[in-house]
Amino acid sequence: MARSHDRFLYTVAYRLCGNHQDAQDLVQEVLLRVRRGLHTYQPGNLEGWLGRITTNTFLDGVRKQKRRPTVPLPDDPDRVLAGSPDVDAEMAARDLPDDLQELLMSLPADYRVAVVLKDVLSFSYEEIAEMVDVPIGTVRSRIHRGRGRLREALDV
Amino acid sequence: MTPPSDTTIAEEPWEAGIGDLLGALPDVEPPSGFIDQALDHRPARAGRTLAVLAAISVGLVGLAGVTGAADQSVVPPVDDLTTRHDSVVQAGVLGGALDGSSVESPVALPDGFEPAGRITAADIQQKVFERGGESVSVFVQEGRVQWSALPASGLDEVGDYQVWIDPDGLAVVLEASGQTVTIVGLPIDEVEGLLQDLPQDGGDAGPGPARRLVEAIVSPFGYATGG
Repeated sequence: MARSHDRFLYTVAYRLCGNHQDAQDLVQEVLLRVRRGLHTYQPGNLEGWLGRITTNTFLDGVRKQKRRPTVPLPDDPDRVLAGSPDVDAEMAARDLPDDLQELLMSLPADYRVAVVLKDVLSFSYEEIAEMVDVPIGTVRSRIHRGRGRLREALDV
Repeated sequence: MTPPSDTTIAEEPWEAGIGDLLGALPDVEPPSGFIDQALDHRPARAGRTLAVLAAISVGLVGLAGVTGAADQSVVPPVDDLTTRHDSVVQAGVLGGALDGSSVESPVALPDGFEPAGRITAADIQQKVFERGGESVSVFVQEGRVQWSALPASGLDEVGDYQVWIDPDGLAVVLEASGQTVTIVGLPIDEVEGLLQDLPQDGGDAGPGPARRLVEAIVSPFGYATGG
């Protein structure tokens, strides 16, 4: 099913911010910066230009967010931990979208942006490197470490 | 040294599982009417803002192949353009008389052609390129090609491109970045090479995430990206 444009843009914002209020603020800021920034646009790669504005706005917005409590490591003995014989069933039984969103919010902003762009939105390493303006090796490192932290928290 | 790319970066096996989990996250539905409300957050000076938005829309249409809601299509006047090309060559206004600086062709020409100048008439830009004693004119019109208005016998497909080729090989019509491009004067034996060198976007795969993000941002303004 094709995504509508507004749903896609909102999903990007929500996955990076973790709550509706911040996501709405972020989308508004992106649209505002696009309007204001068009006079700086040099003919060439519109996608790269808009992607860069969007990512920078997201990064600025994410860094301005109030510090959110980190997801605690599971210490509740009643909580189903790894070691369960049926990990797939365990994962399916959990409210995975909310869990994952919480865990995404526990990641440092730079890791979160890289992981969201790569795994949620399917950007390539090259595209992420251009949008975030860091070397591909740095993108790779952030994604690897971000995924690693999620893996530890999920105990998969 | 070639930088690493997605095809060369090795990921550990467990990373795919995490990636799949994240990739399966559902879309998040925005509040009803949110985008419209976001666009309504304008400065109190609405008149100036509307003028800015109009300028933005013109910029988007002109620069990036973004078509407006009316989706203009044009018919290149091939015979007239051929006459214009011949007139420029015969009048001898080339050879350094025109300012060729910052003249770029929207499609890659064969090796050796250098920009010689630009002339605009009837909203059609004529960009002239020279190579030795040869001249090529690249005519650029805003808007996509109305293919149905061109003689069907000249229509052809080359890779991802629809093209129209004059029966005598004197002119080639194609689309690039939402603009209608007519190339006049290219030696006929180089036309095929030019068409084969056109960048292929792999259209069957659908828009990638970068283009989808662009579409998501520009669509609230009533535009859709070309292609």
